[in-house]
Amino acid sequence: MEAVVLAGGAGKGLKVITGGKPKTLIPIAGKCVIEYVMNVLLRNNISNVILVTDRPSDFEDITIKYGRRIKFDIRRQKGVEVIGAILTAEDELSRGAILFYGDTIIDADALRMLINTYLEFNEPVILVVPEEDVRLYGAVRVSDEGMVRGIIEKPKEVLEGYYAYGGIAVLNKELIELIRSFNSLDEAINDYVNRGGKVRAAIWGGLWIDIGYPWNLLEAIYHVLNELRESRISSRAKISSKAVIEGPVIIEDGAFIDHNAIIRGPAYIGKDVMIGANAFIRPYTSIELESSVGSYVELVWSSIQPYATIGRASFLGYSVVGPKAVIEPFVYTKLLIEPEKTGIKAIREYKRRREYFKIGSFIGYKARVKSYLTLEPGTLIS
Amino acid sequence: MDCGIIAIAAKPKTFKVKLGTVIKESLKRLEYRGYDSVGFAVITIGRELIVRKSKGMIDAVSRKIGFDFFDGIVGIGHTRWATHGAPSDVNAHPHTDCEGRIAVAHNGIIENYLEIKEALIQRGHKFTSDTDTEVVPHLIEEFKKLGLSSYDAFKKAISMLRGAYAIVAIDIDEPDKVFFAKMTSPLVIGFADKANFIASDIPAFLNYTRRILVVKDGELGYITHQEIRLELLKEYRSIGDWSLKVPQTKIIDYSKRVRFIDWTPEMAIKAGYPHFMLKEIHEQPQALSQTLAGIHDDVVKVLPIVTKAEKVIIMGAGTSYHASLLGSLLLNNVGGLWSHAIISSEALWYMKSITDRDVVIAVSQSGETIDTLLAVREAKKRGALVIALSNVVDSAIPRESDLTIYTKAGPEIGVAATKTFTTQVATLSYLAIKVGQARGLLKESEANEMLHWLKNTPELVSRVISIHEARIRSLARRLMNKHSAFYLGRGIGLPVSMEGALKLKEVAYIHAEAYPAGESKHGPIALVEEEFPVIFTILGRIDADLLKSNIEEMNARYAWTIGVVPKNIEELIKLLKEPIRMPVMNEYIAPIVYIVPYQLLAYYTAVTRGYDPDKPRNLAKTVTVV
Repeated sequence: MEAVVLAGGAGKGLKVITGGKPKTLIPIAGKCVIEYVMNVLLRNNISNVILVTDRPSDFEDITIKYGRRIKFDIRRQKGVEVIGAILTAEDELSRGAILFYGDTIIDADALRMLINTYLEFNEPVILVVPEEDVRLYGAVRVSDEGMVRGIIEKPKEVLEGYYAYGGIAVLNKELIELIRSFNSLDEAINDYVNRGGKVRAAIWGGLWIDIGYPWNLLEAIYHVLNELRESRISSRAKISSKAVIEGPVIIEDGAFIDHNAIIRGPAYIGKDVMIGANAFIRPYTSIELESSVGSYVELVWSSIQPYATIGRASFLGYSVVGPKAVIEPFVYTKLLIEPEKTGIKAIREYKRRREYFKIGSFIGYKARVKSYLTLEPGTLIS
Repeated sequence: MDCGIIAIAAKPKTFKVKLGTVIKESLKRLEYRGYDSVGFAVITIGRELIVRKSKGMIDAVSRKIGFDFFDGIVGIGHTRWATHGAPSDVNAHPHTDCEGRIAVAHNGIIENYLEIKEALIQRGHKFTSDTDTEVVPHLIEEFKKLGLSSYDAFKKAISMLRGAYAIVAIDIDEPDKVFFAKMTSPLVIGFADKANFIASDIPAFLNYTRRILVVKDGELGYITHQEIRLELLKEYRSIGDWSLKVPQTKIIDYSKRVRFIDWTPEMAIKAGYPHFMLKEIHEQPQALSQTLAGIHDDVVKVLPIVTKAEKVIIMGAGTSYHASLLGSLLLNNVGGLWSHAIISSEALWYMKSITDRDVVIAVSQSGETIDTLLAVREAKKRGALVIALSNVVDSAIPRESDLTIYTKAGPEIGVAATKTFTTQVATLSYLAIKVGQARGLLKESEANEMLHWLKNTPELVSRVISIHEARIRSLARRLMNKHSAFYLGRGIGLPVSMEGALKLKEVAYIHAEAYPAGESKHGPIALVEEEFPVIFTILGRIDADLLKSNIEEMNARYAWTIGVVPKNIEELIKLLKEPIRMPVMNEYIAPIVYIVPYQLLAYYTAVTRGYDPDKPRNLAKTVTVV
């Protein structure tokens, strides 16, 4: 089989963080989102990939990295949004290629299940996920027999009894033609099923993260780093003998960790990253390529994107710092919020018989945060 | 031993793929029977016997043992659940004789294998494994050495075995035949064009044929690609009879016993679902509709007998026991009959007081559960009338019972029972309502109301799944880090809690204890501390008032209280930290619907913890060992 991967644009929800680069190229623990997708395809023995993007040159590194194992066909996207991307590869999708949104992080088993379902019935299949709040994804209604009854692309309210659209599907010629004439994915599918066409729902309840917003990066870090079973520390990293490293940690080539720094895993310290003296790196923190973390900085469950700088004695938690951003010294993020009052999406935690909702700040591409600022939860700085 | 066996005799080039691949596919459909090790043997067209086997599950070792590389005219395959001898490469089936000319796969336990083994060792045979099975190829080899033909040697060997067995054997000297024999363990023959099959269960060959023949105890014979020979063994020999006298048999005309199976092979695969368990949870609306559609005719047959019974004993094991408990509660409360549910393996201790005025209902999904089967035999000895409630047509318990009701849930492959539980409960509920009507205890209007809710269960279950699946998936993410949980309920709700706890234990490996809510403060509450999950089953007004104080007790100890609760009982919804709002319905019928969140909770907790809910460790689907 072959796969059509929509590697698309920056995405609205992440544009501030990426600075306009495709969101599928955001690194999580040293690997871009799209690399996780390629690994899922490879594990299902799929080595023909049509990559649709409006910025083909950005994907050169990926095609070189996977070039030996995957045969790439990189296409510049015609038209706009998902529909444009789908129609760019309409021939392949008409003959049953797998449609794979490149911002989906998922287990290889989910794709295997989808392929098996398609091969068994030879009918279009879409992946659906039981998610409580379907507003951010697209809602799919499924019958008792596991058939798709209808789909709403952008639901305005929380719908009971709907599944989230999982971003992976196998379509057919008729559906592609409908997509072209309606210029809409949901109307095409609704029309097809209303006229008696069969579209199967493959229900997946395991790992599934759609990278659309900064907090999705935090979820992804959690799952990726939780998979670590042992530490991997490069012999070319320079680590002070007085630094403390606990739990599973990856430390890449050229990283420098100064005296008395504490790194508590699971955590990822990327290539050529600098961690200053007395810094405290807490679990689920991923510091990407060539970032630098000043002395006395404390980080917890955060994503520090490449070339970012965190000034001394700052505290960042549940936060995402965009590429080349600069946090000046003594910046603090506040974490605790009441999502029902504020409407901000947060991460749920349970400690000491209480439920806490926590979220930090999102610092955009090349943004600069002034010294001594205290950032309220959910702050977005561009 | 709870194993799966498959044997195929085929004309060369019958299948598009190699025979090894056909064996692999068939074994995958039998994997629910055991998955400690797998192996297969084929006789190639060049008359070579090839045996390949390994410890591990099929997918994991498929490449290592190379199913896809071997073709042949006959082949046997085996997937094992270890009893005699640890799971290992050596103990994996098939086993061979000293020369490697005969290969045997076996399901069951040969009780006298140690004596046979000793006798054979004295006669110079060399054994390589710790299994009971290995005596069979050596025994055949010994008789062949003494001068018998392959088939006669097989018959003579079988006549010496005691215990439970389903055996298939291939011999290089008769390369087109697969010999088979059956005692207690299940064996089914499948007839196809240019090929014949023998397997432990029907799904193994459902892709190739739907014409089947159930082999009975004491029967043996052989298949080739064009012929099936079936004989009944009439004499059994003792060990040490090394004479050339072949035991007497009677040839059987099986033509009238051939049946046609109307399941589609699709029903046996996990279309569109990552696991059979999730598929089977989602299939419950259809399974219930099918069961309810045919229920009347089945129940009418047994109704006069049950109505007149002095007492009704309902027996089952595992999930079937929980269905039995609900059945007995309903018979007591709705049917006005003294009824008691007993765990099958404990049933023997109750048999002395059973008389010929009593009715025993034996509940078993597979119809092969050995504990239940033994209890059925004992009850029949005492003169009681036995009614089987099973999902598998013509299985052992229905065959040995006086009357049978079948649930029509379709094949259930996930080891954790889901749709068979709800269909069993639906059947027993219907029976209880009819008994209540017949005995005049239930007013017509009450009976009609309950029948109305029963008829609506498929729709209600379907709604509960689609509304709560996402919510329960997120609950599971929190439950996954717990080591222990309580499931509390009262009355009719208690068996629901017990079944919920069993599901969590068996697939998510979290210790869970079900307890009558009123009893919890007499002991178990000592374990409750901060964040300890306590899950309540609330069916309606019938138990809500009493459960209120129990929930408060738990809240006072900072437990994490979850509740499956009707959506109109506001005061309890407010008390519970995680209420799961359920449709308001008749309390006696509610268990069929209220169990569904627990099934989903166990499934998603297992998946979130990274376990395969279809293959829980140490468990097999059908337990045929006492």
